[in-house]
Amino acid sequence: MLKKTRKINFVTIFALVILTIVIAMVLFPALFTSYDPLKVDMTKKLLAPCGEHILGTDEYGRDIFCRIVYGARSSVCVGLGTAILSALIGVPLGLVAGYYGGKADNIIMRIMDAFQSFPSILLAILLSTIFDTSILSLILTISAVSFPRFAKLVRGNVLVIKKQDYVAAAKVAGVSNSYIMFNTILKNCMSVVVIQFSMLTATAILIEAGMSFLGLGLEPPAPAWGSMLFYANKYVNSSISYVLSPTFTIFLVVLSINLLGDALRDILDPKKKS
Amino acid sequence: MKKILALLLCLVMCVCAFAGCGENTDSDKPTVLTLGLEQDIDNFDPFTNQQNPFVRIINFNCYETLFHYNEDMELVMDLATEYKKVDDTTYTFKLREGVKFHNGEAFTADDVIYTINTIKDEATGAWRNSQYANVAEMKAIDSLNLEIKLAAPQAGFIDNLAYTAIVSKSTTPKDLTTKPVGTGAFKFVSWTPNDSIKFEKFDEYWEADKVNAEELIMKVIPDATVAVTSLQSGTVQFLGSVDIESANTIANDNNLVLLESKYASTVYEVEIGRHNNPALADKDVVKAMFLALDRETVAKNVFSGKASASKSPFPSAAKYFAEVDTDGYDLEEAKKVLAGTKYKDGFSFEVYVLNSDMASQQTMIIWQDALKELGIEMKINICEVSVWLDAYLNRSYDMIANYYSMVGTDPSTYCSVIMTALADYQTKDLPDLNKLILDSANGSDEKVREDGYKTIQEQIVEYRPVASYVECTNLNGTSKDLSDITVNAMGHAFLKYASFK
Amino acid sequence: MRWSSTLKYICKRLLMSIAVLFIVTVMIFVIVRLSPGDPVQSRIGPYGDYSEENVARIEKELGLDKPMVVQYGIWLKDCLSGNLGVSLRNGASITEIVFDKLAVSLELITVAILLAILIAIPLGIISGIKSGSPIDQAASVFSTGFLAMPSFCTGLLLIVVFSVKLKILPSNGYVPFFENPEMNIKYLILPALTLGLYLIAVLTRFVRSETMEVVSSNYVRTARAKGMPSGIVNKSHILKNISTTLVTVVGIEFATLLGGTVIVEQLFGWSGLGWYICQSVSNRDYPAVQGSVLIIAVAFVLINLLMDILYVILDPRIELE
Repeated sequence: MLKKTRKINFVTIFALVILTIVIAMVLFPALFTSYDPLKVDMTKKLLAPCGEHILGTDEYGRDIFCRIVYGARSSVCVGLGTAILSALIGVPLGLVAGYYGGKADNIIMRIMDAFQSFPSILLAILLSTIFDTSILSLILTISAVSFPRFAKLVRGNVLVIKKQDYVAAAKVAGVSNSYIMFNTILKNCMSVVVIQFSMLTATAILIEAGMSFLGLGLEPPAPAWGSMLFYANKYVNSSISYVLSPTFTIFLVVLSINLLGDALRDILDPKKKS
Repeated sequence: MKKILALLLCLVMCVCAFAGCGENTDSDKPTVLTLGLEQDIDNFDPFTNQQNPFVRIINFNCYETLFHYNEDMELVMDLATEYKKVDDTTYTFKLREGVKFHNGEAFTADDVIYTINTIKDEATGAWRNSQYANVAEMKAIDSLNLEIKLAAPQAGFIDNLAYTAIVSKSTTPKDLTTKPVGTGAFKFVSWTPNDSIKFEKFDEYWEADKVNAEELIMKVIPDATVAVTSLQSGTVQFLGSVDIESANTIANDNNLVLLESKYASTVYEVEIGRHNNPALADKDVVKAMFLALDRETVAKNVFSGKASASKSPFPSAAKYFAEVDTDGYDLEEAKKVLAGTKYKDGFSFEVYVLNSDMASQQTMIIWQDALKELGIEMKINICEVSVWLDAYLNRSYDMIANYYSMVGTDPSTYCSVIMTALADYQTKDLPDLNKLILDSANGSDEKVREDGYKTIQEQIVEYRPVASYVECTNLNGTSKDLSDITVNAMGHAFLKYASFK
Repeated sequence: MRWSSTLKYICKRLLMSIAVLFIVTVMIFVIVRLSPGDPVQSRIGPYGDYSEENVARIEKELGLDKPMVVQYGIWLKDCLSGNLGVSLRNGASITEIVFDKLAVSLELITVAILLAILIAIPLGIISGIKSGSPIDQAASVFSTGFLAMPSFCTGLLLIVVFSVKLKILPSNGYVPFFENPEMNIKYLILPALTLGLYLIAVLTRFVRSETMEVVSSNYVRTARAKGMPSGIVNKSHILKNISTTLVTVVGIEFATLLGGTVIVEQLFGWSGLGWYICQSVSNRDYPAVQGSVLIIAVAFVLINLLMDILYVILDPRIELE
């Protein structure tokens, strides 16, 4: 048992280290590289990785590592921002709908249906005419189509949990509804929330690329992982390191968030304590 | 646990079994010619459809024209066998005998008259309407001889006919929307929107013995990378007008052949909305900006050497082409020129780029970086086609990236389609451009036309309402097993002689 | 008694859903018209005739000259009689196209989801029971990998391997199943695998975590203490307890993919509803957008209803309402 805990700790530390590095990239990108992420130099187009450019260069001769470092800011903001905003809206809605049931449930869930059946491309085009393109508008657009997922997942779980003995016991003991919902039940839904959260982070980073294509994304030449991957795809025959770099970066970040989520869930898991 | 593993194994085996039986796909039948289209078309109405797959392929293979330009830019006779210019305003045409429409009717001079009359009719909304406005009188001498009289000389008249698909007098544009009836080598069978368009060989085609393909299938493959992999895997055998990255892949693949046009015919340009941004109304500012655009680098890197820096707003293969644009890349000179204007401290503007136009996007990013040196901030707005079109038509842009394919060799068509639209709102700045364009287009004196077009080119380069930066060749890919497809510089593909090895 | 109340519930839900559908149609009707660009422009094209008469003529032809409320009224009336209108691009019947495309999308999504369920449940349960083991870690890396990889990368990779290098599967195309079942399946394998790999990644994570929760919970421990063989405990308890989450996730994914598989559809020439919506939006083909969104909204409503009924069947403690 002791051995296992240590193992988890090691994995958690790995995740923490990765995320710390990413956060450092977001805050102080200049610490990691001396290149300018926007400087075009066509004489150095699509170089393979070498001492000078450890991940090579892109189709404009810009250093790929440097663009990954500077891209962290927008990608992490979009990924985490979307996940946080969607969870903040979706989770309470799902809790309320599942816990109270009846009319509240019906109304909330039907609104979720309406939101989800909306084509996201149309929403993106419309929002791009209202807002100037920015990280915030990206977060809003992606969240608008994603938060119902949280609501539905949480609601499904609440339906089961609220029939459990300990919830009934809490009710009999006179614990307030809001405490039961946001404490007892939420803790038991945590695992699905955490998984959805980490998945949405990854999805949002990738959706950003699609949004750029519709004109709602970040304006070029601003670096972002999703759009790097999108453009790199065209050069899959000529420069494989260009495609792999953003893919692997997104993979590492999402893996770390997953691992951290697992650890977090273990800490929060009420059953583990007994 | 073991059961689960067994189940997994079964599944994997099933997938492999399916995979194993995939040896011969239906595109392997040698008489079916399959090609990829970069977008689906909206309809088959030859009067209003301006979409590339239609204009480049269907217009010449399902429909047919009186004659067409081949890869050497020479006229090849199709529905006509001969034409004569009797005087400046009179043309006579001898039409081919024994030609039938897909509906079984015989092709006669009346069909040509009907086609031109339909284009002239305002109610059709035909996009080449203005090019036939000059037609004064048409007369069928007999069923296969035709005389057309113009109100005034019009140099591009024959060029126009080389793109005009002839339709049967018993069809209306509305009929043709969903079911094309032409005289071409391939007869329409079915159309599944967003999926494919199917044609079969027209047995009564006037040259049916030379048509090898029994079926022609056009598959819609919007993604360029996927289109090339489909060519590599043999799912399609021909890709018309591919982008540069695809062309590079095709050139490096031993099983594929890259067909490159002899002449550079596509001009990449930006159009400037001078009335929307005062800085861009200053011709010196624009000159400075263009000095900062390294066109040689763009041609070499963005277009992989398949392009060269433009020397004129016209493509170099155009008649009356003059080398008037001699400015090279010179950042220092650019700074000097800009310093002499009101905007020496810089300004910012926005450029609209179509999301599917990768070459323009890349050029803009390179240009954007150079303009930063001048203190000019360029914002790149990559947008989807409806937004782009809206900006383009309402002229609500500071600058918009576009490209234009040559239409014939006579510049009059080029001018009438793009330049007049631009000159319309710029008459204040460029007082005589509009008149010059009309005079040169309709003049009959070679010398007058030559001088006129030279002045037009000089004026355009000086003010750059339309600023071209490179001209590139038309690129197409075919599989090695396919031969005798010809593509001219405009990207018109002629598939009737296609033969399989 | 139970059946009649269930029926009553379903009727009530469907009535409520009509209100939702109405709101969705109004919203979509307004929003497509608010977006920049318009169908008259896509119809006339960049170099067409923009004279006032021609624009007015086309507006009239497309029925866009009437006030918006009147347009909506006409559309709603047609809808109620089962006619979703005609495409502004070419006058084709939208009802026909949308149902064709729906069938195409349904085939792809159903196969992909079945594939994902068949693989993800065993994989998720094994990694959940043996959390921390090499199998678990491998599964974790695998599922994160496919989450981090966008479908155009996965799809392209599959095309390069199976179509270009091995030449055993066609890369692009679609034939209806009843026309040519063999070709249909060949065309189906790669896109279904592309979608399937993503879905496996999603489902495995949920199944794993739910399994871990069940394993650590009291009743499994009690059952084991009572001497029940571990195999029985696994099957009955774990499957029962992950079923609710599974239903939710599969339901959400199914509904989302119905209109959201544009990239996979375009990659493999599998022309379904997602692609059709995307193209209709970019052409501003108003009736086509309205029609397809309406169909998707109906699908969402029905899938959610089915989910709620499944909850009750899988866990009798849950009640409808």
